[in-house]
Amino acid sequence: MLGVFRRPRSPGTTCLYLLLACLFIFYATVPCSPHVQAWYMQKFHPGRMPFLVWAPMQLVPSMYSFENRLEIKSSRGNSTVWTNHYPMHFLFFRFDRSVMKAGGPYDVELISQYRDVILKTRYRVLWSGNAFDVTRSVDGE
Amino acid sequence: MFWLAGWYLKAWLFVVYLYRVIETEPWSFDFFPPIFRSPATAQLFYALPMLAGGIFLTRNIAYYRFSAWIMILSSAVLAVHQDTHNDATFVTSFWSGVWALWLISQADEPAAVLSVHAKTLAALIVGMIFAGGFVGKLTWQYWNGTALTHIFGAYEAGMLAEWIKHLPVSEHATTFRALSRMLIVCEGLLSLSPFFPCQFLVCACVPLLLAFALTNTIWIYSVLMCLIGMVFATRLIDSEIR
Repeated sequence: MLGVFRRPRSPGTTCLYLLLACLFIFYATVPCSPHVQAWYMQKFHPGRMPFLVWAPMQLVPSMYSFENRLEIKSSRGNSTVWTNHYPMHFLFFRFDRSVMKAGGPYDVELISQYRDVILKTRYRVLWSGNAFDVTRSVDGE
Repeated sequence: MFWLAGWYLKAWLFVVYLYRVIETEPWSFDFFPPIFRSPATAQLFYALPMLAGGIFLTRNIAYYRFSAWIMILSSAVLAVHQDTHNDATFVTSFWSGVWALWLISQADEPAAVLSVHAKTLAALIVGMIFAGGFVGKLTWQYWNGTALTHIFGAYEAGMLAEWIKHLPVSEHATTFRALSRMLIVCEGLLSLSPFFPCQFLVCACVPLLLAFALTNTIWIYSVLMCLIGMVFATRLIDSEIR
């Protein structure tokens, strides 16, 4: 592969190579640094960082990685749901919204873990009559 | 063609979800800016790639470039929209759209040079996508199968889950451990795509990508079709040169 860099290339090609190299370097740091793990894990927790920082992270692939689970409490009872790399997918797609309207509020704790690094974020979901309002609180705040 | 097929593979689900569910029973999370909470935004950018279908009717390079930008923009918007950010379809579609735009922008480059960079960049993109999953699984919980047990226990769908249900409960832990390790190894291999000979992309990558449906449902192809198409495109470029 390294031989390809001896070939002529346009500025656009060079930029794309650099972008991909940066992503590979970032990935290489994930297993090595708890700080990077804690920072990166926030991509699974919408609301923990500014949207303009969170948004580009969604384009960084992370299929079936980290361990994510939802602890859900409501008047219907409590449940633990283990999810893949899109923990909120379970709430958005898998739950029957017409059933959810009557059972709220739902107190959802999203817990992500990578080795010894754990991140928790709490959300509250409540049907207001017009929409499912989602509010969040951060662990420790 | 592969990109569009993957994008609209789950149309039966997304059409109902985007044009009815999020209109009548919406979520409202103020973390997302209003434009990324709006159902109209999601509806527009989900439908927009249909315009890219026009590339089968023309040889106009400007239209190809326009289509690639639509692919990239639609993928990027839906990857961060409140109602659609939970789907990897838009992540892989984004990166294969970037590759497509790059390819179109290099139309004036010598064919031999273009071919080399096209294959290398395709391998890097495939490698990068699977590197993300690979590094995220370098934990003891994934290596011993615990994480996969929990995840597949929750979803209970797909060929893998159906097969495991028929095994004695005493064998589940061993099975998940083996499958988890196989998944980690396969993703590790795919992460190293750029360092293998170019034939690896077509001869090994594509079968591995197709085999992912065994561990999931066929709807995983909404995520993988664009990558398979990108790999096949590198093969076509080679054939054109010869």
